[in-house]
Parts: sequence; structure tokens; C-alpha cells
Amino acid sequence: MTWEWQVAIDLWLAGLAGGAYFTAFLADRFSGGKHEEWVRIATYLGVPAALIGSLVLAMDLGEQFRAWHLFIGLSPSSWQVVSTYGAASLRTWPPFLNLYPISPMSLGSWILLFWSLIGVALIALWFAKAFESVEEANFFGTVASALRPFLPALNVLKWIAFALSVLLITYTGVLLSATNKGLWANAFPLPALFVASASLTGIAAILIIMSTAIGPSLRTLFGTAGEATTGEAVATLGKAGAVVILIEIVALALYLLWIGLLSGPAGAQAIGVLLSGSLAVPFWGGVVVLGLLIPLALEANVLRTRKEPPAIVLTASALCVLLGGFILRMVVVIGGQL
Amino acid sequence: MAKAMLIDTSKCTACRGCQVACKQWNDLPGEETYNWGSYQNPPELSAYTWKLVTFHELERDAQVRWLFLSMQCLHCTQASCVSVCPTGAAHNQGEFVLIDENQCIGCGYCVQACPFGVPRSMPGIGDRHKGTARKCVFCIDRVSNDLVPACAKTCPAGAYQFGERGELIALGKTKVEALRANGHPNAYLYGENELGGLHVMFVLTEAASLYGLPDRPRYATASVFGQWLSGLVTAGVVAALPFWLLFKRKEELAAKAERGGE
Repeated sequence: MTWEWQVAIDLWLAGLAGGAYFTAFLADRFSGGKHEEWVRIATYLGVPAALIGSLVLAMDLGEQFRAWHLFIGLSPSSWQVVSTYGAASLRTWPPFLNLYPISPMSLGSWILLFWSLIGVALIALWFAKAFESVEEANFFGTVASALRPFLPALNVLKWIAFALSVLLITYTGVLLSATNKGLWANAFPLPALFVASASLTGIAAILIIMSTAIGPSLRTLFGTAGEATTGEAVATLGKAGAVVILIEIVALALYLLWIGLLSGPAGAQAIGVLLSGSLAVPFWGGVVVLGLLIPLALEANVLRTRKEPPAIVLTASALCVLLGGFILRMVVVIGGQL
Repeated sequence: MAKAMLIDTSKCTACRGCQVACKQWNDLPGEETYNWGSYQNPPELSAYTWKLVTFHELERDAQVRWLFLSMQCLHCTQASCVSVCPTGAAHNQGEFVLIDENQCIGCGYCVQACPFGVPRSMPGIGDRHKGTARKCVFCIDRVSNDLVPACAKTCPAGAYQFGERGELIALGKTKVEALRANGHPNAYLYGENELGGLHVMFVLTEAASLYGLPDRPRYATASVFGQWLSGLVTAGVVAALPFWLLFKRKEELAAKAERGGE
């Protein structure tokens, strides 16, 4: 098998990173800047997650030390390829840079790189903001004051990171569907499914941090940002998560129908493996029950009643979502190659 | 004019001379194989086996017929491996599709993207399960020196023709006509139009799928823009449904209630 758990890990972590930022940014913007704390959490969490995912993927390459070829091509053959054959003609520009928009892996690598770089810049600027009052000539004060002139860029960077996070979560699905394997090929609902799942795992990651002791300790560590998050706001995020679960269920059904009915015999066979073959247990048990139905049932209480749910319910359902999200990536990655 | 190869499967005797010639010319090591119930040996293409005669059994009117296909990289004009390769290692060089071993990072994307399952990852060194991707190079060293590819040179059955693509298409069509007139009504020239035109074409006596070839091979990135769009639209739905409804509308309602209360 050419792609194994490493690819699933990367698709999961990149989705989680992008999804957390994407959903946190939406919540913050729509509420008029009330939830900047979530955006920060998403970034603190997402940048390391994305980097770990990339590292795992780089370790999985046949030639790990050539991972930089994803960005720079110093061999003449990579940038002097002059071709009149369709998509290949995109490959002559820009020289020395390996940027091939038609290849989801090439585009995805660049998106991942820029999203992580901007994430690091955001963390640095928030750091400068947190130490705004420190004027003494200690190390933190000096670094903070050196970064302070760049603070006006904060808002623009947040918007760019938002745009990149949308592309990041989409890339994980497009990567697989631009192939010729039965379970992946030509499947328009696959990027949709992965976008929904990435948003869901992103929400789950934020929920776990906000509904456990990690949230308050972050607040102590990095200072306040926006309004203090109330239990009600966390419950609203949980409700949003429940709606995303419904969206993901629709996307999953569309995906299965698409592959089973429209992708020919190879697709029908791949669906068989998923629904009743060797991957049936992880699919039904892990993806559907653990990852979607149990969290939905747990959060149904949140949707039905107005009272704030106990933290343990939110945490439990978020953990199920995270695990289910990983099993989904695993089942799709492995199932495509059986 | 583009060079190409035409393989007449109706003449193939499955002697596997082409398989051996390919190994010899390209200095590819032999592989340990086992009896897996077919004369097709080794069972599939690999980083060390760039040419493989595949055996397919066709049962019709209580009679079994063997269909042989001398499988290799078909050197597509619209090559999926080229379109998905993130480093430019897989590239079109004239009419041929090559993988630059010095650029390849061994990501395995071409292995997943090829509609014919041709490129294969090298077994990794030590414990690693994969290395760079390998496949047929159309004997580029021979062809660029006006020699015939090793497989075509060695074929004792006269199944191979190497030459100008246009002439080979004309030749293939006459062969197909002759086969159709002589008890093979399903004969077909595979590769004339598939994926912008293949540079290894087959004269088949039956439907392509009976030879293990896709009837309509698909360019892996043919609908990549639609796939990006599908993800972006879903992101829009996620933004609009739960987040706009739960965060923005709630905010507006609260603001309205506040104004009403004043």
C-alpha cells in the first residue's frame, strides 16, 4: 500500500488545524469580535498540529530529505519543462519555484506553508500585544517592543489566514479525489465531506480546550482577548457543532451515493468494502456511530434545552468527534487502495 | 512527428520475450515470485518490472479464450502522473512521459493517479516501505539513438510496430478492420483518442475492460476545479448555516432587544 496511516494523520491534523481556525474566525466575526480568544486557541493549536502533520507526511516520503523539492526545483528538468501538452504548460512559471496549481499536492503544500507562517506571525503579534505594558528592558519586553510596529498588520493577517484555512481544509479532500482510485476518483462530495469533517473536528478541539481546565489556564498565560468566554457561548459553539454534524451526515450520504452509483464498477466495489466488507466495522462503528451519532445524541440535549450543558458532555462528544474524524480519514485512505 | 508503438494483441503469444528484453536493457533485477494461480508472472507491474504480459481468461460459449496484453506505461498525451506530480519529476518529454529520479520525492501521488496503475514505488531501503516512483521510460536511450525499444525489437511474433504515430494509427485501423471481418466483431484500436492520444496503442480483439484496461480512462485532474469548488461551497454552507444563524443572528436579535428595551 503506497499511502498508509501517515497520510491519514496528515489529512486529519491539517483538517483540524484549518477547521479550528475557520470556525473560530467565523464565530468571532459574526459575534462582532467577541471570541478572539477562540481564534487564538485555534492558532496556538493549529500551527503545531499542521506542522506535526507535515512532518509525519515528510517522514513517509520515499526520499525524506528531498521534501524541499515540493517548493524549490533546482534541477533544470523541473523548470525547463516546456510542453504543449495541456496542464503541463503551467509548469514553466515561476522559474525555480515548484508551484503547479493543477496538482493538489503542490498547491496544498504551499497553502500549508503559508498558513503556518502566517500562524506563527499571528502568535508573535499576539505575544507583542500581551506584553504591551512591559516596557522594562528584559528579554520579553525587548522582543515585544520590536514587534509592536507590525501590530496594525494583525487584522489583515487574520483575514489572510482565514482564506488560507478554507483552502487548507478543502485541499485534504481534493488531494484524494484527483486520482484514479475507486473510492476517491472524481468524487465531488469528497472535498465537501472533508470540509464538514474538518470544521467539526476544529470545533471539537476548541470545545475540549474551552470546557476543560485548559481554557482558563491559557487565559492566565496569555492574558485576556475579547470578552471572557461564557458557558453560554461554549454551548452555542456546541450547537453549531451539532448542525455541522448534520451537514457532514448529508455530505457522507452524498459521497456514498456518488461513488456507489456514478463511479462505475470500481466505485461500487470500493463502496462494498466500506459498507459490508473488511472496513465495515471501522466505518459503521467508528465513523458513523462514534464520530457522528453519539456526539449528535449528546448534543441533542444542547439543541433541545436552553440550559448550559455540563462540561463533561461537551468534552465527551468532542472526543468522539476527534476520534471519528481520524477513523474517517483512515477508512477513506485505506479503503481507496484495497 | 511523434513516435509511438502499436501492439497487436491478436498476434501476441505471451512468450514474454518483451518482458525479459525490458529487464535486460534497463538492467532491472529479477523478482522472487510465487505460483498465484496464473501464468502471469510476476503478478503485477513493479518498480523493477516495467513490462508485464497480463493473462485474462474470457469464457464464451463454454469455451475459454486467453487474452494477452503486453502492459507497460502507455505514455499518455494527457498524463495524470504529470498533472499531479508536485515536484515536476514526472514530465512530458516530447511524446514520452518520464519520471526524473533526481527530482522525485517518493510521495506516491502518481501511483494513485495513473488510470492504468503503471508507476510503482520502489521498495524502500531498510525498513522503509517505499522509495521513488519508477516505470517504463520508452527506452529513451535507444529511441533517441534511432533504435527500436527493446521490447519491440525482441518480439518474435511480430506483434510490435514502432514508428510514426500517424502511420501506426492508419495501420492499426486496417488491422482492426481485418479482425472485425474475421470473427472478432469487437476488435478495437485502443489509444487513438484516449487521454489525448496514447503513445503505446493496442489492437484489441475484445472490449478493453476484458483486458484489464479502463474502457474510458480518466485524466486524474480532469475535474479538479469542480472539486475545489465543492469544498469551498461546503465551507460556505458551514459558515452560513450554523455560524451565521447561531452567532450573527443571535447578536442582531440581542441588539434589537436592547434597543427595544430603551
